[in-house]
Amino acid sequence: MLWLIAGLMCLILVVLIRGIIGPTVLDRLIAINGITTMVSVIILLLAFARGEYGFVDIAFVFMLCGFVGNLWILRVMTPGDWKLDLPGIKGFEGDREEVD
Amino acid sequence: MLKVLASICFIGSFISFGLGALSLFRFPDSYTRIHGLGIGETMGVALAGLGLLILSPDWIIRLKLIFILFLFWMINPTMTHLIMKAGLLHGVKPVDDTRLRLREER
Repeated sequence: MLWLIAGLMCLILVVLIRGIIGPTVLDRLIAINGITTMVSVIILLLAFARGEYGFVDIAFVFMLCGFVGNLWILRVMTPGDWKLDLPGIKGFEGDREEVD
Repeated sequence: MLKVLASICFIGSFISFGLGALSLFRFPDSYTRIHGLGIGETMGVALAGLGLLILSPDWIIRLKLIFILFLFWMINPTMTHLIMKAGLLHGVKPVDDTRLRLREER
């Protein structure tokens, strides 16, 4: 079980490279999402490796806080209602219903 | 015996996480990257949780683990979908080989 913790720590460093060199904001968000998941799994494994089963709740709360944090970042990135109307991309053009 | 089963689950979990992390560097686009990472992490958390379910000593801990896995299976695809939708709204264009066929099916 401890080798999985060490391996996940190395994978966090690998994902962090993509978070640093990522050309768009989306890549950094993907890296944040992956790192949050891996850290919650590491906390779960630590709970079973050390025999302190209160860490399971901490992993649960950490996962939910990562979800809410990512959702808040996305909400700040794109204000307004989320309706797909993209003039540049084929398949998402036009047909907006004007609502007063 | 149970430890062997749990170790097999952990090896599968590490392979899934590693393939998800590898897909960040092998795919050409943000959308394909988040596809690979989302699938790899969902499978990795599922296999790690299965191994921990085998090793867990008590029923209340098993219930907590099942609850965590259920919520994670709800949350992670929702999160990948929202990140992709925010990227489309923000104007990040996919690669030229991507075909979006939402409007044509109506």
